[in-house]
Amino acid sequence: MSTIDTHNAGQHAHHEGSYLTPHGGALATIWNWATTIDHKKIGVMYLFAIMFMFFLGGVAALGVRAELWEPTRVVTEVVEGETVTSYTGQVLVNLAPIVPGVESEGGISAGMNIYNRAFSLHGIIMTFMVIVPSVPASLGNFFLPLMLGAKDVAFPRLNLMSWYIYVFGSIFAVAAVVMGGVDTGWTFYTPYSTMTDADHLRVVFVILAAFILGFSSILTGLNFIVTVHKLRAPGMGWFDMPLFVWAMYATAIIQVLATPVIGITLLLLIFERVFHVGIFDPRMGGDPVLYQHFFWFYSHPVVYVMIIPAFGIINEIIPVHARKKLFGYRAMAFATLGIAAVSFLVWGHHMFTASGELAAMIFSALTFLVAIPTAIKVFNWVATLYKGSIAFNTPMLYALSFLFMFTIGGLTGLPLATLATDLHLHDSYFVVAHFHYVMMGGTIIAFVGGIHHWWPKMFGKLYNERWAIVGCVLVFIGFNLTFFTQFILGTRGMPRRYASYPDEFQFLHQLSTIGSWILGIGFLIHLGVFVHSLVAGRKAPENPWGGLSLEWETESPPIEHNFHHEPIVKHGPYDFDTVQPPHTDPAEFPMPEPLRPGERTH
Amino acid sequence: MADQQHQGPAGSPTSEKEKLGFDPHDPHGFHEGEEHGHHILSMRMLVVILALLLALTGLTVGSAQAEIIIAEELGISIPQWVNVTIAMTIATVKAILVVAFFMQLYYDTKLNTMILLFCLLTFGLFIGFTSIDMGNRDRIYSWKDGQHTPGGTGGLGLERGAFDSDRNPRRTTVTGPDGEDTGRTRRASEEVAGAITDYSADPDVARTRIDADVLERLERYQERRRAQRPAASPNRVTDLSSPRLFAPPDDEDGDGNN
Amino acid sequence: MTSIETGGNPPQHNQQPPALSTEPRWKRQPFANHWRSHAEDFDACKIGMWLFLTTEVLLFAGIFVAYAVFRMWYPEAFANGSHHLDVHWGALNTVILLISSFTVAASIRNAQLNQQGLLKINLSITLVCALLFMIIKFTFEYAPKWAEGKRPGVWFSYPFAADPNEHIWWSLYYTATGIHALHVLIGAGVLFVVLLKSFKGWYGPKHYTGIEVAGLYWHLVDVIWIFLFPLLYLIH
Ligand code: HEM
Ligand SMILES: [Cu+2]
Repeated sequence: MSTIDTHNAGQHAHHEGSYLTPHGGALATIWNWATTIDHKKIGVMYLFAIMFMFFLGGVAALGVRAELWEPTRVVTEVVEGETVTSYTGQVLVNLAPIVPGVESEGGISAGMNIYNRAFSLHGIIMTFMVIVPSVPASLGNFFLPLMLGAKDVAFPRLNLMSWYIYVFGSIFAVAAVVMGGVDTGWTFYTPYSTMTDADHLRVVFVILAAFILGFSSILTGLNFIVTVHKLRAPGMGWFDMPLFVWAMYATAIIQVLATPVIGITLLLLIFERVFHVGIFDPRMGGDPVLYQHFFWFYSHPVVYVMIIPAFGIINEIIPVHARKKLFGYRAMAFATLGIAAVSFLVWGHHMFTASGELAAMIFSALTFLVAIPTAIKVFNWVATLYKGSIAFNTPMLYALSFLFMFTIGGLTGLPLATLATDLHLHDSYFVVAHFHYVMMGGTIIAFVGGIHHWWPKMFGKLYNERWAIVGCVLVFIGFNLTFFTQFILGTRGMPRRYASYPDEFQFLHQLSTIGSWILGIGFLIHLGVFVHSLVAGRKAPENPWGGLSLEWETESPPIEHNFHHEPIVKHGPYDFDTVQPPHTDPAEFPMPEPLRPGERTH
Repeated sequence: MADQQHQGPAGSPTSEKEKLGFDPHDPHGFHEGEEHGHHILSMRMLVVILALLLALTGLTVGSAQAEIIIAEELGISIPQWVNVTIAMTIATVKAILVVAFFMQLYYDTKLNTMILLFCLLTFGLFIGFTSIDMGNRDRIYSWKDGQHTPGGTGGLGLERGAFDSDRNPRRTTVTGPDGEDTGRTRRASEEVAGAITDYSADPDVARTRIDADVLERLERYQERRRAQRPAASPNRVTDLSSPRLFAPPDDEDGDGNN
Repeated sequence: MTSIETGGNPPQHNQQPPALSTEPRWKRQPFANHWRSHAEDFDACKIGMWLFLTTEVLLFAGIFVAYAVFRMWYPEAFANGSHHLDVHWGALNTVILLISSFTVAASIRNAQLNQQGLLKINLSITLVCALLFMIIKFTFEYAPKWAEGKRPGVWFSYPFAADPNEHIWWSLYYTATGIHALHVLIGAGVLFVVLLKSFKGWYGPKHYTGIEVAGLYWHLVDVIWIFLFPLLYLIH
């Protein structure tokens, strides 16, 4: 690929240190990072912030699952002539003394109140603070310019600003948690979000947090679009870009077009809550379903903001670790754009039970369109794997898990998109399982796979492959145990967001809870692997996997200005059959044998 | 890239540029775009655009005033869509003038125009699909009224009762506070919506924790609403405990059957 | 097997303009070092601004959608509410914004032609227009209406309302014009910074990214008003 012109080689080369080189003492280094406009540092800061939020959200999720270990039972006893009512099976009730404002009231015990807050907290953190920014803001920030052969993103200062907005927004959310949390669910549906906790500011805080985080998302997207348009290395046409870049581009378009709508939605919601303007309040002639339209106009496209970057990562992992040219490059690129386009046409499928039937019919029909580009992608990945020389290392294992789980997640979307079946499945555990299969089994799995794929490049250190594989396998088992059971629960009628359930569901709930522990252990192992690698990892070579895209040209970790010389691109990112990857030994990464007459690779 | 021959400086520059995808003499584009993108509008042009904009503003205000005057003096009420169309057309023309010339989109790269068009397309999708739903609530109420025959026309407009003889949503006349005819009409669904409003205002049913001041205001608002409500029409449902809410409108005894 | 490319003779780093301190500020203006030329930087900033304007339009889209839906539902409330607005103030504000748009466009021309004096005058006129707009909005529109009880949502207490849903109209009126007014303030703030910088000579031929970008924003605020004006004041 991109062959580097050595024109001024030697004059400049090897003077510049890695971007990780400390600047002076500890304080100076911290100041340097806090004010950096280097996309790599901002990407790394995002990565750690997102990991931290993922940890917080994960703790809340474990709490939710713990609460569901046993159904709540009301126990009425007569103690010394007085009737005393108490509850059993409420693990979270033990937290009541430390959570403000969750006293029992109106038949809802404090434990249930905490449960409501725990799942809302989990959902809000995971969507707005983890999955939406996850890949674009961390890996995207780091690798988009590298893959394009650029020195930085188009607007580096805006990039730093977006990071600070992210932190600022997250602080609001965390403040709301410290004040006692909210029980609105991540969707902030009215009237939950306009009526509950009327004597507290925390709902406003959380809504504000989501509002602020939207700006960070917009700025990232805006930056990426301009970068892709303006900063491609010479020789890199649109169809010479790595598909990860295409994915970032499509994601950025959705971010720019959809996020403002959540901005105005949340603003109107705050007006509704604080000033009671009445537009979402049926008592005053307003309409809660209007809120749902507003919300999902953003939030359906945003699920593609979550998944398209994951597609991008898988597009990189599979050809590199299978050492095979990607099957159907153009189809992939167009499918990515197609998904982005269709994502704006289907939001009504979240409101089949609330909206008019005419709209529901239209939205149902349109939703099935999503399956087409998605299926093209899955087909192409499998075709790429076919006859490849697959290395079963952690990134590849994650990519394979992704294929398995995302396919399940996508296919279960179809019964949800069917009007008749959705009437039964809506707001049940089936929906919960569906979106966890796509968001966790899809996005998070691809994200973790991508972190492993690029870890040596980002930090210049190798990680412990064996332990990483152990973590990967545990995550796979834990995830499926946690969420496959929920498909069954959902079809049997277990509604989502309930703290208790009939006794006959207990076995499946307990399996699910056990799965969540395995999942937790798997992620902790990954954390250990990362820390170990940073502290004691072996030095990584420039190109440990034999990748062909531009980021593998530069050093590991990259130098401050990314490349010693601006690269000029001469071949595509997946030409494994014709190009020896940079910095690699042909003995270690041999090119495929020439085809015998009549033989085909696909 | 063993199989590719090194490209020498031979060949005409343009063909080479096309072949390589970049200019070999300026591969990094250092001098690209130096001469473009700085269109200078003439002062005359700017003034003409401003004059046009001001004239159009006058026109749109004038036509709106004209409508009122015609209605008041001559007693002819022009249909609303005429007024809406005129006002929105003029606004669109004004916006295009500002965007194309003041914002210089006309002289700018195509990409920026594309961005704007995508933005408007998204806007169109948003408003279009939302209106499809929000403007078709009648369909739901006809289901709930039991006027819809399962397996029939699927709520597409042939149900008895919800639609008048012209297959338009049935409308009832709105009477003023003193029972006089206002000449205005409202849709069947709006009546049902009104009834639901009463329902949720019942403090026992809709238990809210809004602070007392707001509650009081709400109550005053409800009172005002009740006071302004037209005199009872045979189809109006006020008591929600009665099965009449979901009964066909010409159900006399309120038992859910005709 | 990385082949060597020697076709061109690309300079290592971008060619920054010479920083002679005697030259005007705009000539000494460097551009960020990941760009290849000033023109690229300028182009990119413009694309970025158009993308940002897209987000602004879609922010207002929410209000327009709410307007459309409630207008469809409660046409009488909207007709009545609209009658309560004073077309004269609305029209005056439209004219003010149009003039300010014109002065911003003219100030870009001034920068392109290096007319430093006119540049400052035009920017100042724009700021005065913004101020006038806000004064009219608050003293002649919001304040009297609020006092009469024409308020949004539950605060609505106008005794002569002819339609039970008129408060929805006022909610949308205050939301739409309020958010628009906020944008006027932000735009004026940005233009103020541009004005200050213009006193230091930051802008000149081919080096006026700041004005261009702030100007685009200001025009957008104008365009939004161009639509809000008939929707709120004229359509009865
Ligand atoms: C083949 C593609 C897909 C189809 C057909 C599909 C369809 C659906 C439908 C119809 C629902 C609504 C279910 C209900 O509430 O009754 C739903 C919910 C959901 N989907 Fe998907 N989906 C697809 C892919 C995805 C992807 C890729 C993601 C995210 C990465 C995703 C995330 C979600 C979420 C978060 C919800 C639930 C939101 C909530 O109510 O809290 N879906 N999906
Ligand atoms: Cu969806």
